[in-house]
Order: sequence, then structure tokens, then C-alpha cells
Amino acid sequence: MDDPLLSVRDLTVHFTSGGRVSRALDGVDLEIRSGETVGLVGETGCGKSATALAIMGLIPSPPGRVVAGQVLFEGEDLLRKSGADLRRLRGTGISMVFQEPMTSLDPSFTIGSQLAEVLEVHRGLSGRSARREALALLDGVRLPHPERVLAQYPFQLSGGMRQRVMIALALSCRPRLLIADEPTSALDVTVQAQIFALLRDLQARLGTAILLITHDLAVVAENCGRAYVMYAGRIAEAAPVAALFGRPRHPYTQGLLAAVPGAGTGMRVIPGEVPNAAGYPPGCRFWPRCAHAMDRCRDAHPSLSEPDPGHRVACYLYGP
Amino acid sequence: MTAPLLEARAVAKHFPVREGLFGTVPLRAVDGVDVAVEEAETLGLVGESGCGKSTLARLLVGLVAPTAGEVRFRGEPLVAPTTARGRRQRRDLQIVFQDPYGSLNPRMAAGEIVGRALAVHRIGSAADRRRRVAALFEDVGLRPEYTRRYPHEFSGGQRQRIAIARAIATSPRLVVLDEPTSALDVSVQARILTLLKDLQAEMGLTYVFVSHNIGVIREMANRVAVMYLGKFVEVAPTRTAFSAPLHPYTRALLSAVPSLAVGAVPSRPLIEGDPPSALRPPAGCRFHTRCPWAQDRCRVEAPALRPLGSDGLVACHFAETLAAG
Repeated sequence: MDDPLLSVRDLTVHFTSGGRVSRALDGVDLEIRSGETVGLVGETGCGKSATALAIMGLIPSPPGRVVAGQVLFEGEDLLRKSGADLRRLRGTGISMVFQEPMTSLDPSFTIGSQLAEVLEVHRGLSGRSARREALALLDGVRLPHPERVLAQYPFQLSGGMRQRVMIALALSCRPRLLIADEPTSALDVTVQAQIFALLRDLQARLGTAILLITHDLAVVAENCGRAYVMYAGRIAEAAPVAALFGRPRHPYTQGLLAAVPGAGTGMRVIPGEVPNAAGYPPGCRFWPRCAHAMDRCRDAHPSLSEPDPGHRVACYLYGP
Repeated sequence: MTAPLLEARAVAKHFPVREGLFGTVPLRAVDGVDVAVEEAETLGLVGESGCGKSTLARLLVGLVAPTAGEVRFRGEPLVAPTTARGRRQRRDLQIVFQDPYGSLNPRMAAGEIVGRALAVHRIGSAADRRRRVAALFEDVGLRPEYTRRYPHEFSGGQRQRIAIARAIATSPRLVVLDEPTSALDVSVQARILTLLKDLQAEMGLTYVFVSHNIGVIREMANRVAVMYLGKFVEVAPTRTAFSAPLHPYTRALLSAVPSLAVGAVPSRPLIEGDPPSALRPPAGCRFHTRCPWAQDRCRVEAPALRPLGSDGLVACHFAETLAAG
């Protein structure tokens, strides 16, 4: 099998605030191969956005600190690269789309000038060639009237149009990996469907690998080939989506799926609350909420075992 | 026949929006809605941003006054809270908002927030109210000692429990829930929805449940009204509306919702672009600019909301043709 495009190994990130250490990420392993779409799903505070920021080298320090681990992109450890090397890589190697396109676009510049800047910095285009490429990019994300959009400011566009502009910006330098962090969570569902249809088409055309970070399980089910479920700073389960949703193994994944309303199977509730990152329980972080908790769950965290090929679970029900 | 618990008749709310140098243009947030809410049911209101569902929610509890039409509670028009009848009506009609940060006063302890609802309506003595607040906290799954904490000390789910405790404090007949779980994670949402179902069963409450989330509506509502640009396009029992939608917009909305079913074909958008502005709603059927089935007639003649099938209402000239094909 090919070497993965991105391989995150044992990534551990701590945040310190008021003398308390929050273990935001604790030994996260994650792989993405060229051209695939991988989901990273979990609830608020589980560490999915921290994972994205760590991959991009954007963990604010202080208060954050990468304590251990590697982020291997095409075999090179990004955590050991200089700021200048990383800046070069952002855009051409890895680029990112965030949830709120209003705050990630500069409100005081036109869409055209923001696109031109990126094209000049990363691809050395200027003047007419930059404008031609900018028009092509906006056309590529199926924005109607791209000439008009070039002259517009972010506030003049709808949320869905802004997100299309963000995708155009993110893809302007042909990155090998696109990290999309809740790209449609601020959008209506009919607009969300348009954005994902666009991302699927662009991916088929450009071969960009996508790491899709979301809290929405159904979005993962429809758009990803494989997915990782995170809980309290750790990977709980990883599998191809058909296996993950067809036969979820981790009690947390099972609980999360059962908590989705309107599925017709009777919504059920996971007891208890997500623990605070500054005070995780010893052992498996899910045991206080788990119906299957055993004595050993309280002592040490289970490592990932593989009950089926390609389906990995961090739970003592399936292995050590 | 007895009057429905709550009824809106041709209710509309237009907000003036400044435009250009010369005055204002009306934003037609709600533009002629008829609806009757029956005792003990949950009516879902579903639609996308800007369709007017939150404005309608506020009209139904008398928080905003209609530009036209009227809202009646138990057969009597809603009147201003300056009158005894108006105050009584507001005891019976309560609302829970989406944002549990913005809707709770940060300077008041949680117990005071809930207690104020009782104090405003002069229910019980101060000591009675303290006991009642403690009981309400227990009803919504919060520890009684939490009454002394301030909103910022709670999680989002807990804050929403406080807002629910405040809403049920006056023993209302009907509670409007405006996106009560949209800011919450799915596991927290499931607990709040379960709490709301339990309270409804215990207190015999009637709900109007506003949400953009089809799954939430499917879980909570017996009947659903689908809104588009200030008007109802379809009203039907939830089960039939979501399994055999009559209106093209309902179809488009449902087709856009991603599915958890393994092997499901990714949802393809049936409609493109964004809804038109409520400042200038399209002539004729408001959905015609995005409707894949639009005909000439749709561009000029606005369809009325009319009965179709056994218990549905639909505002589409060609609903029969679409249902057949």
C-alpha cells in the first residue's frame, strides 16, 4: 500500500491555563492517503479542532504546547519545520477551510484582491494572469457571475457564497490535503448539500485528500470513506464508514448514534457528561458513562485493537 | 366545536428596513399565516434561516405585535400585558430561546432568574417561591444548590435547563421552543429533548417546536408546518410530510438532509443558490425561482394553502401532478 500522505503519530497537546493543564490531545494517531476523504467526528471539546490546528502548526503557544508526537506530511515531520517552511507548505501542501467564512475573510478587501494576494504569494501570478486565474477559480466553485463577485466585499455575499470563496482560496494553490473544519455548520441544509456536492466534484477532479472535521455523523456517513471518532482527546474508534455506522463497536460511538433524533429507532441518551479536559478520569475516559465498564477500564486506557481488518477500537471489550 | 388552544389568523409581521435616501421597505418576515394549535400536540415549525419561523414563534406568544391579522388564545385575542387578561395570557404562553447565553441575565443567580417568573406574576410568598424554584430545578434535572450559581458557571445544556425551568415556572399551557437545542452537542441535545418530552407528558403541555433540524422535528412533532419566505408551504402530520412530501420545497429540504443510512447515495441538492430576500419576495409562488417544476402559472399566481390527501395542506398549483409522478 502507498505511504500515507499524512500520518499523525502519538500526537499529544496540552493547554495550560490558570496553572491547570488540559490534556487536549493524548496520543492521537491518524492517517490520510492521497485523494481520500477522512472524517474526524466528535462532540465539543473532544480535540478535533486541536488536531487540525496541530497539523497546520497553528496551536497557539502559550497557552498550548505540543508535548509529543509527529505530524508526517509526505514523510517529513511538520513539527520540526521552521516557520518559513510551514508558511510555504500552507496553501500548496495543506490548506484549510474554517466554519465561519465571515471571520476568515478580511472584511475590508474585495474578494478579488484577497484571491490576487494568495495567487501572487504562492504562485507568483500578478496582473491580468492573476485576474484570469481568480475568475477561473470562482467559476470552479460554481459562483454565479464571478466577475461581479471579484469586485464585492465579503459582507455582500451570503454565507454559502462566502464558503465557496473560501474553498476557491483554499484550493487556489492545488494543495494535496484540504482540512475542512465544520465547513457547513453555519449554513442551511440546502446550502450544505450544495457545498458538499461541490467538494466531492472538486476532489474527483483535483485528487485532493480531505480531512473533514464535523460534529455531524450523517455528514461523515455521506461524504467520507473512513472516519475517526474522538472522545476526550483520544481516538475511540476508526473504521471505514460502512463498518463504523453499520456495526459501531465502541460504546461511545454506539451511544452517539443512538442519541441522533428522528432516526426512527428511538432516541436514547448517554448518561453523564463529557469530562473536563483538566480532570479526565484515570483509565478509559468514557468509563464513568459506559454501561459495559469493568474494573480494568478504571485502571489504564485501552490501546487500539483491531476486531476486524481496518476497524480499530480503543475498548477492552475487543482487546488489550 | 371548541376553539383551538392557540390560533393565528392571517397573521403578518413586516419590519421596516431603511433603504436608500427615501424611507423604508417592509421586510415581510411573516406574511399571512393561518394556524391552529390543538391542546397537547407538538406542532413543528421547520424552514431555513430567514423563513420567518422565529418571528412567527414570537408572534404566537405575543412578544411582537402583528402588522396584520391576529393571534387568539383559547378563543380570545392576545392583549397587551398591561391588562390583567394580558398578564394571565402570558402566564399561559411561554417561550424558550436558542441561545442559553443571551437569554439568561448574567448578573442574576440561576434561582433568581427562575424565581422572577413567579414574582412577576405574583405567585406565592417569597418562601413559597424559594421552595417552588428548588422543586423546578429538580424537575429539569439540576441540583437544588445550583440556584445560587450564575449563568456563566453552567454548561450550555445546563443553561438550557434553567431556561426551561423558567418557562414552566408559571405552569403554562403552551410553550414555544425556538431552536432550543441548536447550540448543543448531539448527546446533550438528546437529554434536553428527553426532558422536554417528559415535562410534556407530566404537565400536559402543548408545544410549538421551531427548528431547522429535520431529525429534531421528526423526533418531537406530531404535525409539522414547513415555512418558506414568510408563508406556510405545507402543513401535515410529521410522518406523512416527511415520507411523502407534497410541496417541492419540502422535497428539496428533505433531499438535502444527509442520511446516516449506510450505503445511502449522497444527498444531491435539488435546488441551487440561496432563498431570495424577504425584502423583495418573488411574485406568484415565492418558491418559483428555485423550483425545478415551476411553470408559467407559478410566476404570476400565488398558490393558496389548500387541503390535499387525508390530512395535509399544501400551497402548490401542481401538487397532484407531482405526487402522481
